[in-house]
Amino acid sequence: MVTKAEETELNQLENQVENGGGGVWEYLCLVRKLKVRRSELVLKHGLSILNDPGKRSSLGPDEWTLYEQVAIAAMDCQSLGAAQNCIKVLQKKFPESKRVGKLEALLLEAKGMWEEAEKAYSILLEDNPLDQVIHKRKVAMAKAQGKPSSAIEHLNKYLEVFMADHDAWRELAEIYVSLQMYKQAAFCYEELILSQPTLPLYHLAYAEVLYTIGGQENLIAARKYYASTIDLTGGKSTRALFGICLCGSAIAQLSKGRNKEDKDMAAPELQSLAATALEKEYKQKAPAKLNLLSSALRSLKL
Amino acid sequence: MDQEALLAGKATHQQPEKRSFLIISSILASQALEKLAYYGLAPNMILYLTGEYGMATTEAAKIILLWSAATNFFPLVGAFVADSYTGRFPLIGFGSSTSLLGMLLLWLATIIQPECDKSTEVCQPTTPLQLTLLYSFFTLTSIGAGGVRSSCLAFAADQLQLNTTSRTATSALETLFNWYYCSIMLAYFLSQSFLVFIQTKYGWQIGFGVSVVAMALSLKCEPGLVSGLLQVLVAAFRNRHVDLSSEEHIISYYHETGSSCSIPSQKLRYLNKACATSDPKRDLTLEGKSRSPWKLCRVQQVEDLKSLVNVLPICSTGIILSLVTASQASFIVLQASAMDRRTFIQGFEIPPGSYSVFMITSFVLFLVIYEIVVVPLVSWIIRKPFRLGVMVRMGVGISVSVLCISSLATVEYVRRKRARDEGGTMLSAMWLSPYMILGGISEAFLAIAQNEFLYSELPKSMSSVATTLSGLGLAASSIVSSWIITVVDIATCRSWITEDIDEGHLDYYYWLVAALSLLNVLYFVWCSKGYVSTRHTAMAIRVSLLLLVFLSSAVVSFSLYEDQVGLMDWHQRYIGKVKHAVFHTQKAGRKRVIVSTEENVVASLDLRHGEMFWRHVLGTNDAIDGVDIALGKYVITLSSQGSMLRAWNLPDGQMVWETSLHSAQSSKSLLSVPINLKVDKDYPILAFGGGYLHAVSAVDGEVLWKKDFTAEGFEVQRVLQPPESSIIYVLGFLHSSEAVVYQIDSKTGEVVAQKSMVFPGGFSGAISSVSSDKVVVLDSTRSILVTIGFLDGDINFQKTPISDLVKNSGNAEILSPLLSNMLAVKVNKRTIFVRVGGEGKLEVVDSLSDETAMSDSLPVADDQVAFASAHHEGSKIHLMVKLVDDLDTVLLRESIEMDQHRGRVHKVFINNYIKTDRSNGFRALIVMEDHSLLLLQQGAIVWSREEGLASVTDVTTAELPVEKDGVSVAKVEHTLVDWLKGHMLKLKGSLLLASLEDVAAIQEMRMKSSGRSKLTRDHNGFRKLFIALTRAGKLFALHTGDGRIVWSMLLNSPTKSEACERPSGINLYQWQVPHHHAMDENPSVLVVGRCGSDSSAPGVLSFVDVYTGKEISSSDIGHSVVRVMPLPFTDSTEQRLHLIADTEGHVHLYPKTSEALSIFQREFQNVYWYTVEGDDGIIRGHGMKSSCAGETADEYCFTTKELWTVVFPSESEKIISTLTRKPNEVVHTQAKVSTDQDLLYKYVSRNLLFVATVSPKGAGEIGSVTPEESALVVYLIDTITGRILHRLSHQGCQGPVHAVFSENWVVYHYFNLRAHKYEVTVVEIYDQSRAENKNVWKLVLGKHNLTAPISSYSRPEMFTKSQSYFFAQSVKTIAVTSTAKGITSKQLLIGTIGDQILALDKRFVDPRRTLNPSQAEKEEGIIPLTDSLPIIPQSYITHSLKVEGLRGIVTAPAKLESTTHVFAYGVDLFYTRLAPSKTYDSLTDDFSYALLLITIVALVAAIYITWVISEKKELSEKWR
Repeated sequence: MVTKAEETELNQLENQVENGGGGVWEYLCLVRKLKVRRSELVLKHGLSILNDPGKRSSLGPDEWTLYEQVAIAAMDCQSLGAAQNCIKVLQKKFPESKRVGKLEALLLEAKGMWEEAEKAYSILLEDNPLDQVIHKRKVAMAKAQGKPSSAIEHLNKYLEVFMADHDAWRELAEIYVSLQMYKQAAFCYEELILSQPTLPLYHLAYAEVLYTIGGQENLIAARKYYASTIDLTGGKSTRALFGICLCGSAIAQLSKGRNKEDKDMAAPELQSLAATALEKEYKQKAPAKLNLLSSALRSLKL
Repeated sequence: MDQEALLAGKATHQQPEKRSFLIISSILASQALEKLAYYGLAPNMILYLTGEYGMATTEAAKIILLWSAATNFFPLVGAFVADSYTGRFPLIGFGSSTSLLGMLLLWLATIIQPECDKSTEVCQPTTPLQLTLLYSFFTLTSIGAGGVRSSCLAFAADQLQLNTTSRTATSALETLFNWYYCSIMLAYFLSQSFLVFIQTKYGWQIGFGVSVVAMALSLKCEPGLVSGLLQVLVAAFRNRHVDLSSEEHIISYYHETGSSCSIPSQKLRYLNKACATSDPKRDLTLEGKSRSPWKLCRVQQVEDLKSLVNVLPICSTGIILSLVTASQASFIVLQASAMDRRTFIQGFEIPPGSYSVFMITSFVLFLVIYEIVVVPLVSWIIRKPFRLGVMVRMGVGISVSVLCISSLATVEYVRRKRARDEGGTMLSAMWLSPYMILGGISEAFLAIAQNEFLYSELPKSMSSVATTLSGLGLAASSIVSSWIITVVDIATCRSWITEDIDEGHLDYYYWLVAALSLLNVLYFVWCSKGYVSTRHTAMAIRVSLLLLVFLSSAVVSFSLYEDQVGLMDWHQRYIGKVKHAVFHTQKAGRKRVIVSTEENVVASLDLRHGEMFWRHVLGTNDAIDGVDIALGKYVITLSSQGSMLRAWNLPDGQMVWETSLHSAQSSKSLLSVPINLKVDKDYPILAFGGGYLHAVSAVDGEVLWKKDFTAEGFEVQRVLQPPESSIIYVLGFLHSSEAVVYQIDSKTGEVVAQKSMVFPGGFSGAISSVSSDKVVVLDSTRSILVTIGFLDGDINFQKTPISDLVKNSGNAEILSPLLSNMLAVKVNKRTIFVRVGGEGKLEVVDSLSDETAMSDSLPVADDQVAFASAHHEGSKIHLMVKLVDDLDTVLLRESIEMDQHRGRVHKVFINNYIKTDRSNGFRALIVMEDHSLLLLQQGAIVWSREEGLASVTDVTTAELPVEKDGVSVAKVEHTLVDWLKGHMLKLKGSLLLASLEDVAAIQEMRMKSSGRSKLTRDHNGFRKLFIALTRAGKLFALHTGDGRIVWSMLLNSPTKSEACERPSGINLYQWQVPHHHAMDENPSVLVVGRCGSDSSAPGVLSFVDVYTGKEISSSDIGHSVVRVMPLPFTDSTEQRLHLIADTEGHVHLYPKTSEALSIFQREFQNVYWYTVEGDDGIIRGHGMKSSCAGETADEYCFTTKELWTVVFPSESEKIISTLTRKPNEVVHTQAKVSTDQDLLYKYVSRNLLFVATVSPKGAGEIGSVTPEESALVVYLIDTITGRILHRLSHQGCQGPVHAVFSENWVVYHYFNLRAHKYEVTVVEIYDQSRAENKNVWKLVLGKHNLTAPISSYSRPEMFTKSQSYFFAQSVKTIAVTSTAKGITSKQLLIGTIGDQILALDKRFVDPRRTLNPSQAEKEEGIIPLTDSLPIIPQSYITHSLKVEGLRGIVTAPAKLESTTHVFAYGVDLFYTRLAPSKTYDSLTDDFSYALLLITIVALVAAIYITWVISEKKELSEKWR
C-alpha cells in the first residue's frame, strides 16, 4: 500500500524529475520501493542514467538493479529493443542467473512468443519448482492469451501449494466470476473472508456473488454479508445499503404468499432502515438525486 | 657476480699517465671479450655435450661444473703467479693466447664431432681424439681465464695508481671499478642474450687478437701477498718451540719500522710465533730486515693471515648460495628447453640458454630499486635513517636463496607432473622467473654485502685477496655442486638426474639443495654469532631466523645504527687525582705511564691518547703509598701503610703476585725498587712499613728477608743504595731525635754496621735526600736545615739556619721533589732552591714564586739531571725544564694556553725522549687543581682526562633549555627538498661516490638526527643535565644522552682573589627552577661551600647558571654552615627560599630579599628543624623564635628555640644512621587497596626521621662483637614534636645500616650476627585514624575527604607492618627509583659490594607477604614469602659493567611517568634510564614502526578486499 506521505513524496519527485531538477535515481528507487507503475518515466529516465557511463558506474552494484527495472519498464512500454539491450547486459554480467532468466522469459512473453516463454518458464520451474513469480507469470500469460480455463488450471495448481496467497484467491474468484462460475467464485471468496475476515470488500463481493446466484437462502446469506459489510465499514458502504434493499425486496418477492414465518424472513424493518440511511446520505451528499432515489426505492415497493 | 682481480693496494709502480687511458680501455675490452666468449659458451655447453656428444646429463653437468670451478679457481693461481713471479702483463698475454688456443680447439672439435642421428638420438661412440680435443679446450680456457682474469683489473689499476694516497687516484680507481663492472655486465648480458641466441661462437678470436696487440708494455715484480701468507704458516711451524707465554718482555716482534702494528693481537696466538724472535741479532740483518722470510715474518703478515682465517667461515656461507644461483645454470637450460618458451612476439622463442638474463636483470633492477626507492622511502616512513647492515644483508641473501631454490623445485615438480600426465602441453618457461628474480635478489644482497664485509674486515693490504675470495666461493660451489651431483647420482641409482628430465626427479634434487640452503642459513647464524667484531650480528641472526620462520620474500626489516643500539646507558671510567706517576717509554711498543691516585687506583695509561690500558681499583682502605716498575715488566704497588705489596703485569695489568707484609704498628711506609741490585738471579724490592723492612723478590713476591725495627721504634726515612755495592744504607729516625743508619747486606738482611747519633733539637720529619750519602732535614723548630752525611757509616750533622739563607724567614717546609744535590724549600710563600755543596755547605741558587709546581729530577744525557717546573701566568702555564746543576740552562721553555677552570698546577711529572735530531724532548704529565690530568708535549696539550669526576660528592639534576623556533637542531628533513637532498647525499655515500665534504655532511646529519644528545629539552624528559660537584670544587654538567661534559666550572678559578682561598664544596641545591611565568630566567643551582675543613669555618655561597655554566654571583656569608634547609616556598622569580643554620644556633634566610622575607614571615611559625648530634646521641628539634639581636645581625637572621630533645642512652645506644624522605618525592595514592576491599591509609609525612642506633660495642667492624653484646634499634621520630612513632629492636644485629626512606616505608640493611647473614627489613607505616573510611567507592569517586588537615600535634594513631629477609650481599648504598607522579611501582637500587647496581622490585620487600598467599592476594601481586631476597642476575642494571668505587646512586624522574633516570657515581660514572614497570606509557626505541605500518596496510588491504568480496558475493546472491 502506498501511504499518503509516500505518494506526495513520489509526486513531488516525479514533478522534479520531469522538469529536469535531478533526483532521478532517488525517484527510480522510490518507484521500485513502492512498486508503482510509472513505466514510461522509468524507461525514459532510467535509460538516461544507463546511457551515461559516469552516472552508471557511480551506482555501484545498484547498476544491475536499475538495468532490471528499466528492462521491465521497457517491456511494459513495448520498447522491446531497449529491454533486450538491458537484458543482454545483465546476461553478460550474470550468465547463470535465474533472475536474468526470468527477465529473458518475460521478454519472450512481451514479444508474444508464448510457446518459447512457456518453455523458458518450465525450465526455470524445474530448477526451482516453488518460484511463485513464475507460477503467477504463467497465469498471467494464460490470461493474456485469452485462455481463462488454463489460467484457472494454473491458479488452482498454484493455490494447492500457496494456499495463503489471497491475491491469487481473489484473482481466481474474479476469473470465475468472469466465467459466471459463481459457485466456484463464492468458494474463493469464502477462502478470502476466512483469511482476512475484517476486509469489507471480500464480504461485499461475496454478498454480491450470493445475490447473483439467487435463491432464498443465498439471498438471506447475501443480506447477512451486506449487513456485515455495513458493520465493518461503519455504515459508509452505499453499495451494501443498496444491496440490503435489493435483497430485501428480492426476498419479499420470493416469500410472497408464503406463511408468516417466511414473511418474517424478509425483515422489512431492515430494508426500511437501509432505505432511510440511503435517503439520509443522498440528502446530504447529492440532494439533486434524492428524487431519483426515492423513486427507485419506491419501485422496490418500499 | 664473481670478482677475479687482484687489486693490490700496494702497487705504486710509476707509469706515464698519457699511456694509461689507452691501456686501460684495451684491458677492459679484452676482459669483456674474454667474458663474452666464456659466458657465450657456458650456458649452451650442456646442450652441446648432451646433444652432439651424446653424453649423459650427469656426466655433462659434472664436466661443466668442473670446468667452471677451474675457471674460477685458476685466477687465484694466476694471481699468485703474477704477484710473486712473473708480473701481470706477461700473464695477461699468456692467458689470452691460451684461451685463444682453447677456443680454436673447440672450433676444431665441432668440425670432427661424432655423428649423431638427431631423430633417434643415437650417436656414434666418441673417439679418443674428439674427447682429447674437448677436454683440452676445457683445460686451456680455464688456464687462460686464470691468466686474464687474475691480472686484468689489477693491471689496469696499476696504471692508475700513480700515488696511492692522493684523492684523485682513489676516485679514478672507483671510476675504473664502475666501468669494469659495467663492461663485465655488458659482456655478460650480450653473451647471455645475443650470442646465445644467434649461436655464433666464433667471433671472439678477433677480440683476443685486438686485445693482445693493444697492450702496452709494463713489467714489474714484487714479493706477493699469497706467498707472504704461506710464509707465515711455515714460519709459525718452524718457530713452534718459541714459548710465547713467558718472558714477554724479552721477546720482541719483528715489524717494519713505521708500521702501524708492532705487537700482534692475542687471538690465534699460535701464529704469533711466526713473527716472534728471541734473538733479534741472529734473525735480523743490519738494516733490520728479516734474514729469512720463511723463518721470521713481519707482524703485518701474521695479522693478514689471521684476518683471513677469521672471515673464512662467513665467506664460506656464500658457497651454498652460489650453488643455488649460479651452479644450476645447466639444469635450468635443460628445464627451459622442455618448457614453452614462446613470447608475445610471434615466432620468437627465447633460447633456453638465455634465461639467466632474467637473473642478471633482476640483480641490477633490485639494486637500483633498493637504493633509489626502498631505502629513502623506508627512511622517510620511519623518520630514521634506514640502512641494512652488512650481516643483515648477507643473512637476507642467504635466506632468500632458500625461497629461490624452493620455487624452482616447485616449478620443476609442476612441470614434470604436467609433462607426464598431459603429454603435449608445456608449462610456460616464464614460471622460471620467480626463481630468477629471487636468485637475483639474493645474489644482490649477498654479493655486495660480502664484498663490503671482506673489504672492511680484511686489512688494506689484503684487498686483492678480498676480491678473489668471492670468486673462490664460486669455484668452491662448482666443485661442491659437482660432488653433490655425483653423490646423488650414486645414491639414487641414477634415478633422479637422467637424460630425459621428464623421467628423472630433478625436483627432488632441487629440494635437496633447498635443504642444504636451509642448513646454510643456520650455519650462517652460527658463524655470524662467532664473529664478534661485527655489531650487526645480532640483527643478522634475528633477521635470518625471522625470514626462516616466515619464509617470506617480502623482506622488510631494518637495522639500527650502533649509536641506537647502545640505547640509553653510558659508563665512564676514571682513575681520580694522580699521586704518583711512573713512565714506561724505553721499550719499543706502546708508551705508557703508570699512575696511582687518591682514589686508590693504579692504572696504566696510553701516553699517546690518554686511554686506559688497564686499571685496578683497590679497596677504600687500601691507599697506595708507592708505585714503581720492577724488572721492566712488573708494576709494583705498596699499599695499606706498607702492608700490601703487589706486582701487576705491565702490558695487561694482571696481578702477578701479591705479598702481605708483616706489620706491627702504623707508620710511614716506603717503597724502594733498586735499579741494579741483583742478588742470586733475584731482584729484591725493599719495602718499609709497620716497623718492618722487607726485601721481597721481584720475580715471585717471596719475602727474601725482613728486618724488625718495631722494638726500637725506628722509622725508615730513606733507603739508599750506592752503586756497585751489595750494602744498602737504611737511614731513619729514632723517636724523631736520633738519626740512625743501618748498613744492611742486601743478600741476607743482616745488619753489617749500625751508627746512630742524637740530634738535640729533634727532627720535624720531612726529609730530602740530595745524594747517595747525604740527606737534608728540618729540625723540629722548622727553622734550621740539618744536613746529615753518613759516608762510610759515619754520621755527621751540619746545621744551617734558614735565616742565613733567606732574610726574614719564617717556618720552612721541605718540598717533596727529589732533586740531586739540591733541595727545594718553601719559605715565606716562596720556593727557594738550595744547593748542597760537597761538604754539606748550603747555598741558595734560585727562588721562585709559591705557585710553582715542580717535578722530580730526571737524568738526561751526559750524566746531567733535569727537572721541570710549572707556574701560572695569566691564562697560560709556563713549563720549564732546567738542568739541576745549572739552573740557567733551560732545556725547554713552553707556555701553554690553559682553561681557566682547571685551576693551578698541582703536580708535574716529566719524562724525556730523544728527538730525531738527537736532542732531548720532554713530555710533562701535569695534575691540575681540578684533578684533571694533562699531557703536555711540544707546547700543546696532547690529551686531557677529567679525573675530577672520579670524586663526585653531590649530584643534582637540571632541565635543558626548551627547544625554540630557529634553534631546532633537527631542521634537516623538515622540507621535502631538504629531505631529498639528504637522501641524495646518503645515496652518494653508499655508492662510494661521496667526497670528503659529503662524508662530513652525512656524519653531521647522523649526529643531528640521533636525538639523544641534543642540547634541548625533549618531550619525554629523557634529556637532562646532571650537575655534579666534585671534591676539587668543580662543577660538571653531564648530558644524560651520551654523558659528555656540557660545561664545567671550577668554583675558585685562579683569576679571582677572594678572602676565602680554597673553599671546598659541600652541597648542591636547586636554587631556581623556572617554570610557568619565569621561563625567561635560566635555572641555577646553589653551591654551598666552606672556607676550611673545620665545621665552624665561614661558608661561601655560589650561584651557577645551569645553561651556561657561568657563576652568576658568589658571596662570603660570614657565618658557618651547619645545615642547609630548602624551604617549600619560592619567590616571584622562582628562587627557592633556603635556611642556613650556623653553629651558634642562628638561622639565616636566603635569598636576602624583602620579598623572601615577607614570604618567610608568613610561615614563620611553621618552620621547624632538627639537629642530630651523633657523638652525644642527642637529637634536638628547633623552632623559630625571633630576629637576631646584636650589631652584626641583619634582618635575615633569626634565633631559634629548642622544642624537644631525644637523648639516647650513651651506654647502650649510639646513633649510626639517620635518614629522612627526599623532600621532592611525589606520592600518588595515599591509600592502598587490598583485594578484599580493605583500605590501608599510608602515613605520609615529610617530618619523619629514621634513626638507627647500635650498642657502642657493636659500632665497630662486623664480627668484632658477640651477638649478645650487640643490638640494633631503629626509631621513627616525628621531627616537629619529637615523638617517637615507632621503635623496633633487632637483638644480635649490628651495622653498618644502609637505609632508604620513601613514601611511608623504610627499608634498611644491616648484619645479623646470630645468622651470620645480612638482613633487610622493611617497615611500613599506616594511618589508623582514617581507617574507618573504608569505602573504596567514596575514595574512587573523590567523595572521601583526603585533604583533611593533618597536624603533627594531634596524636597520631598509626600502626606499622614490618618484615625481615636475609640478603646475600653486602651493600654500599641503597636508593629508590622516583618517577614524575609516583604512580609507577618502585624499585630499590642496591649498590652491591661488587660495585654493581641491583634493581630489586619493592614487591619483594612488602610486609604483607605471607607464606601462602590467598588467590586474591596473588592476584594483587603479593609474592609468597621467602626467607631471603632473590638476586636475579638479569636485574643488575649495570649489566656486565662495574661502577668502581661506587659511592652513591641518584635517581631523578623523567617527564614520562614510567621512566626514571639513574645516575651512579664512584670512581666511575654510570647512567641509565629505568622503567620499573616497563614503559607502559611509551613505545620503546626498538619498536618496529615498519611492522606497525605493514600491519595497518595489511589490515586496510584485508578490509578492502573482504569488502569487495562480500559486495561481489552479495551481488551474485541477489542475482542468483
